[in-house]
Amino acid sequence: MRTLKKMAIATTICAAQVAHAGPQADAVERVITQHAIPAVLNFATQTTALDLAAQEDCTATALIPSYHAAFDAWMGVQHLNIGPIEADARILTIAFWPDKKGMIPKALAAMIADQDAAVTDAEEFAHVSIAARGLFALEFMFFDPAFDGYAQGTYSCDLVQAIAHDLAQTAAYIGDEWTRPDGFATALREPGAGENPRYLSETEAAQALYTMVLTGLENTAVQRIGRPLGSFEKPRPKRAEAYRSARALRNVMLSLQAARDFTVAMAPNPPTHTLDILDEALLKAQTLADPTLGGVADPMGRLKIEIIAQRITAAMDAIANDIGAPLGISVGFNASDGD
Amino acid sequence: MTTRRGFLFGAVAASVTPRLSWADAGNPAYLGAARDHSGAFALYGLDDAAQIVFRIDLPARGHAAAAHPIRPEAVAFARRPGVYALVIDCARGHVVHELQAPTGRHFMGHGVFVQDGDILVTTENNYADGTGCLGLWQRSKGYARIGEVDSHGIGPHDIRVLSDGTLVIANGGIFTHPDHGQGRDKLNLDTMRPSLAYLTPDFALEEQHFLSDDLHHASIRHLAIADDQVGFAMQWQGDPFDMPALVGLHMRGSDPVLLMAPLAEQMSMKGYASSIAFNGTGTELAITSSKGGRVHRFSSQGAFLSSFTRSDVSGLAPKGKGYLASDGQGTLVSLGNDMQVLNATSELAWDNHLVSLLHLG
Repeated sequence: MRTLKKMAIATTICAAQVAHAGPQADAVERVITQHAIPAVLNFATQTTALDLAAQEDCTATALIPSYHAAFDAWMGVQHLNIGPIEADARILTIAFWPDKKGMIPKALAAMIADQDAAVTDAEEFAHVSIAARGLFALEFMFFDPAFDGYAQGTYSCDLVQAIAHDLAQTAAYIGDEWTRPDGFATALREPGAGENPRYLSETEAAQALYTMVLTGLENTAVQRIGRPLGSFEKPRPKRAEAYRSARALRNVMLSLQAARDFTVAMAPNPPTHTLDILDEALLKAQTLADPTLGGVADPMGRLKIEIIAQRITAAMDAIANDIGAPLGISVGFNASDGD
Repeated sequence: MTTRRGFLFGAVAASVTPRLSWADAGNPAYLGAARDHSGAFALYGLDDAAQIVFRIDLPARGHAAAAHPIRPEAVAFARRPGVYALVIDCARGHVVHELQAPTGRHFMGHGVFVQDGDILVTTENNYADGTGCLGLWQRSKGYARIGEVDSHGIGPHDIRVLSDGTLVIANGGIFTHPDHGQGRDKLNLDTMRPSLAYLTPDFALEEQHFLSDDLHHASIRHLAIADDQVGFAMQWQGDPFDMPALVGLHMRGSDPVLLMAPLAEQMSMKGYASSIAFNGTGTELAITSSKGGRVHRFSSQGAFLSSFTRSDVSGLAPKGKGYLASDGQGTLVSLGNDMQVLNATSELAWDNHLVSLLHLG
């Protein structure tokens, strides 16, 4: 048995070595080099800048520009939701949304009331509730009247510095996990290699990336737009993502831009149909001029926002034609149709 | 209760036909259905090392299978709202009976043998009346349908049998009708009321448990048994960000206990559990989530143990002190303290469930 297994692994490695550079492997390589690695490194850079700025001046006014820059960089990687960003729930540690149960203000208020000493120790802070960490905790500290009035030298100041530093460390770790020699990019490039490979074939690796871009678009349509839309009778503007910092529409647009870049990198031929649809959605979003997506409460605004969601769904179908069909890949057999 | 009759029939049958056992089908330890690279569906027998020992064509995508306790016979159910189930002779590799659901009913994808393998019990949607029922089929009469009984809830899905012959049914609570969305539209989400129902060996309701009203969206779908403790897996029909529990434990006579993973892990399951199994020694249980690409392990006392990441993971069955899990990429892995690839015939997309034959001994 043991011998058989070893033989099987050896065979797989050989197969991986001879079979590289097919259309699937090429597509994987393009996504890694042209899209994913620049984006994860940019996220690390922008969060480090936020961390450094916070150590200089922790007040909300001083940090809002770096907060937006870091959030913009996050929108460039949030759809890379398999691998280091997904592992150990880093995605939620960075962006705890939606917070249906109002856990973020509760967690922050509790830390402030208890003067929780975890803020003085990065190691310890990495173990506090994920609700008190990441971009959405910072959003509360900078934009919510219950939290944003703190001065230099206060506990809240220490807390903001700790959140910013923790975020930068997480981002740096993700960058390293993607790029190190035996990291995630290598796992995608060399499926089947090593002792316990993450991906066993080029198809699996390509499928993982393909699933990322589709899941990302679905999240934007169903969560970023669908949550505030609610129902016609009961729109939910307060459920929009990052509405406190007026980033709800910006996040929709940046997520579409990221999907656009991803598609351009992965498609074996120019994905003209997908790009037409995504550009149309981006243009419609741009002309919306509704940063918080508060327009969901108004019948006309609502219609315009619904149309953007419909274009995103259409873009997903187009991606199936522009990427899935030519590369012979599809989304999960069970994930898409369980029972 | 009909041991005597079952025994007598067995003796008669033995005198006329050769007595085949699972050994004649290559001693599979597991059954699983899969789609191959050509798009064809088949039922596979797997040995303890997750290597294929037989393959039998299926006409369409299946859901789960019921294995006969002695004979190498498996009943493969079509996916909801399928009206047929196939009795497959796994030794000879062909279909020996085709079960047709009566008018106004369709199979729900699961079934179990009772009474020493003479009676097959199938979960069914009685969509004509808007109720759930169990179909009773007698093997010794050529799998004739000999009756049906109430499942005591809408949408009965998985069904298992305890050591004393008591039946446990996961009534998922969701009403579907073949005329709506090809039988997969959920028609009663506002009023659904899932339950765990226990029936005596002669099919009388013995005990039934409902979760609290705020959890009425937790569709109880799949079951696993170890030492008569019942593990149940749920699929949340509300907002996944409600972070509902997806697995529970129950012993007859007490209240169900719901198990939660740490916050971030719980959120990663996307409100969906695909399959559930105890490990081979009954000391722990696990659930898979194909939507979250994760497996969660809990002790049989309910403590969260660990998590594995595997995209599109769904099928799960006991294997030694750990588990065997399957996914849509064609991989079979063993899970214990770590994850080991046992079979990567990546041309096969393994379907929702793996059925363990080990406990049939």
